[in-house]
Amino acid sequence: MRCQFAPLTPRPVAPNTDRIEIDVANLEDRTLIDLSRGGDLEAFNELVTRYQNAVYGVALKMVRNPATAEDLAQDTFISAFRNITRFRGGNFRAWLLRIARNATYDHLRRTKRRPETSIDENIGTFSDTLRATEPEPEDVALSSELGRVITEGLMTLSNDHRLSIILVDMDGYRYEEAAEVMGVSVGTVKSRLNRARGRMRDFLKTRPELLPDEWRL
Amino acid sequence: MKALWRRLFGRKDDLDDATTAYIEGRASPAETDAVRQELDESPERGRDIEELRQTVAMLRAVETPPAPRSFALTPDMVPEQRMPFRLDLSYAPAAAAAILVLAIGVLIAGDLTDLVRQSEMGATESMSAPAQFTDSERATEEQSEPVTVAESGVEVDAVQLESAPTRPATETATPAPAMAITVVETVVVEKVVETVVVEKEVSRTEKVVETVVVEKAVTVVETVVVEKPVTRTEKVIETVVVEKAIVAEKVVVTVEVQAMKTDEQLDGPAAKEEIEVNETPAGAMAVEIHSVQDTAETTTPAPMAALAKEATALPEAESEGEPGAPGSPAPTAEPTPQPTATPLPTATTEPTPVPTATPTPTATAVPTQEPTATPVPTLEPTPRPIPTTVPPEETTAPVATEEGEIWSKTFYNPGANRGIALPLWQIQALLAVLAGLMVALWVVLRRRAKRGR
Repeated sequence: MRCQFAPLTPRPVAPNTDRIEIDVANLEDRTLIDLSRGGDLEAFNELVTRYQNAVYGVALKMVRNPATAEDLAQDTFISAFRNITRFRGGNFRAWLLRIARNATYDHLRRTKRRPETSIDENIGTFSDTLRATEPEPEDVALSSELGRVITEGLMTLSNDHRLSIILVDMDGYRYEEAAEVMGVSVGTVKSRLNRARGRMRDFLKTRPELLPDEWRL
Repeated sequence: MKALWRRLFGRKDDLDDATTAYIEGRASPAETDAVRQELDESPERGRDIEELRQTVAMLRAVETPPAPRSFALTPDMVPEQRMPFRLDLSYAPAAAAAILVLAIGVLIAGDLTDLVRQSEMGATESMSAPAQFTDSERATEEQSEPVTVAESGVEVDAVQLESAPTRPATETATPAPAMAITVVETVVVEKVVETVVVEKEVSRTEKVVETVVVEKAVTVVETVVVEKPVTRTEKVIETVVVEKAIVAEKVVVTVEVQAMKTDEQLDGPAAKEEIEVNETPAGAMAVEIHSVQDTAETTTPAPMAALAKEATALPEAESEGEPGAPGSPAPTAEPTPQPTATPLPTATTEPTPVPTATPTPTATAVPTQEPTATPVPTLEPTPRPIPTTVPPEETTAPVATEEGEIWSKTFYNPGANRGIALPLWQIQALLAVLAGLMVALWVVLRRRAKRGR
């Protein structure tokens, strides 16, 4: 989509704003956010397109259920659009992930009181998702096996520790951004990360048969 | 030192920045060399670090699946949101304070412009204005004095009021020249619900017909008709206390006061007169009349000035101090029959001394007495003796130099007056305090609201 202006006419006339089309894909996040604050749904959907993978990925790794992760991601964007006027600048992705984190925590809190599906089903679902995303058959098998083990290990961690590993080690966010998402300090993120890594290491050492040969500790 | 502190008090799983960077694969060459040197020195720790590094590598090997679909919003997902109406109660104290401040402003403005008055003040104001009479009216009134209120169907209860004795009882043998003060009041009270204090200055004979309508909670219609020939100027404070509620029927209370007062009494110290009327035609009202004589004031009211002007118009023979001169009692006391409307025959048969200073010829219709010898015959059940040691110069003091009367009446009905009668300034102060409290409450609520956000 390109920005199209009204054709020039011999006489100077007032520009007709109705005929101006803005290519929102070329706009920066700040501009899109400003447009979204004014109720521009198209601009906000551009933001959705940019950050939906990040939001969905975190939700999926946290809840392990693709359908639930989709619902959480959709709810996250709807909530973000409704509350975008409260966004006071800064890292928009971190703000979105914080909304996703809150939605995920609420969901996990509810399912903890009323469990809906079994852990095995969730693990299998997450592994299937991982498998489906792998392009090569060999890599698919490797990632599926590794993803199954990693997913099982993540489930042994608390929500905070799991989220720290997901954000920093699996998704590669910086400590500062992870701290903003989690709502804690950078030092807290590091501390949680170290403990989460140690517990993941201990989990993987107890199940060496589940790991591929090259990944056995 | 830092390493020692970390080893003693630090968490076992905490790693330094170089080790963390090595585990995450982002260590610089210098940091990598330092960590590897540490790993060589401590194989056990080196194995732990190596396992952590491998764990992180495995975590990073798991790729994040992309979103299976677009999460773009559609208009039906985010319908037009209308801001829900929420009543913000935190502004209620501010609104109340504003209303109170507005009320204070209205009261102050009304007070300054005399638009807002308390009912009591309004009654005072209305009755305090001296009645203005024309000469014809005054002449008509004095001809008929002592006058009875000509209210048709008015039941009249007469009470004679006499000044309190200010002299020893031994002086009662010789009657002193006295002046008749006849006060006939007709008070028509439909319902008394509040206290009304009336202060007015009255000079000599005059007729005051005042109507006070006080509306407070219930409609109060009060008609006060006062007719009184006053021979001398004096200050009389009367208090009429209605102690019982009068409901439904129209009650007429008429109080006639006749007092014989000498000049000395008028010029002497303040005398207090009290009359209690416990039985009225209505049978439900008790009336107390307290009359306080006070001649301390020296100001001459406007009606007095007019009377003084009239006194100067009298024949010179009277104004030169001769018998019958202004200020001296009339030499011949001729009883004047009271008008038929007067309920008390005592007023008709009583020789009422009228000072010669009375400018109108009707003053002669009221019998006067010799100032020193003639006692005052009254029909009062217990006539009060009149002192004989009254100096003649005091008895013949000109009327024009006397001061007016100040009448104070209080109609008090505890059964009907259940409101709180406060002065205007107290109401304003109370409203101001309430406004301050509301503002303080508003500030507290706003701070709480901000803290909650």
